Amino acid sequence: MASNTSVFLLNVNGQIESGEFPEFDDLYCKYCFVYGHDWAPTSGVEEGISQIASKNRTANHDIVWNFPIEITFKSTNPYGWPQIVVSVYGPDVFGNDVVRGYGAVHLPFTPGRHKKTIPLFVPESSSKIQKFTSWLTGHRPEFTDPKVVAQGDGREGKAV
Amino acid sequence: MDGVSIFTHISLSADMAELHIIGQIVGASGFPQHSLFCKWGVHTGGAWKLLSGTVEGQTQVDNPQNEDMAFWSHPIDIHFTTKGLQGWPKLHLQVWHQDSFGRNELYGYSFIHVPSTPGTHALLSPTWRPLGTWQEQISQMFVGGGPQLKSPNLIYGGADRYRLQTTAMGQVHLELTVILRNFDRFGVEC
Repeated sequence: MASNTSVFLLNVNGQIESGEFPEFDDLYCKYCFVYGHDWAPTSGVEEGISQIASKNRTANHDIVWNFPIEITFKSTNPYGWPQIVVSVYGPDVFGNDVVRGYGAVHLPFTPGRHKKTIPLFVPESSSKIQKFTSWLTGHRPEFTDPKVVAQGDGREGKAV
Repeated sequence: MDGVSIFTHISLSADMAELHIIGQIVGASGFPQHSLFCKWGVHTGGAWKLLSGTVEGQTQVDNPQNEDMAFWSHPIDIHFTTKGLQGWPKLHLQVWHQDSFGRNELYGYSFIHVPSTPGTHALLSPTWRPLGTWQEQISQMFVGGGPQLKSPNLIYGGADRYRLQTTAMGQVHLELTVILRNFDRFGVEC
């Protein structure tokens, strides 16, 4: 982290290292950032799509992405501190890509090395008839914009 | 002549921040076979200059007798100067397996950013390798070998990864000490 007179910079280097998915395999992940009005990225990549990674059946059972993240933000004000939004997708039994989880976490607030575990969740259909059509067609409900997982409003009445 | 070179060195250290990376590639665990070696390299952005040390190398082949882990104890000692934080150094690793015929096959790729906090860090870097077609996977089961990346920048870059299919492999154990100098002069908190 670097500080100037009124502008400060937040420099982030890291990776989406691995994921723990007991029931799923062959997953890829996407990331993007959600941040307030006073924040602006000055360098680096704001979003990315990883490779399709699978577990190793013999050794440990995590999915390894080892996917790099490098970005610098500038701001005058901590309000709207950036969050990283991660969504994970993989094939269902028919081979269609469906979402396996959404999650978000604030970028670390203190300098140094941090290891974060992001709990992931998927939305549920909001009515019985939608549940049935979703079962019939094999399409899971998805967020049209994954960035909603980084917002606090509009959560009431939603099941995940 | 001597006086000139001393002068340039002083001016260099005065207006640039310095980073020392000292440590070891300790070894690897969780791979399906023994007889492993590791190729490594350090990648930095354009603002970084190497003052001393080597930024790539290869370890010996370690064939542990009955242990689960291969040990390389491969030393790393690098001195960088930099004008900016972009392109902070990252270490990229390739773990290879050497079979009894002396053939080498790729076991895993991985990258890890050098920690930005000063101090000694014990690091664990999980690896992955590209997965071929199912025909290639079957042939790999019998005769070994396997697909490799054509361009090593996919190991530490994120741009073209979506075209890749990979599987998890073992982990590389590292011990790195980071020493920073003059970063505070530029208002950088690490």
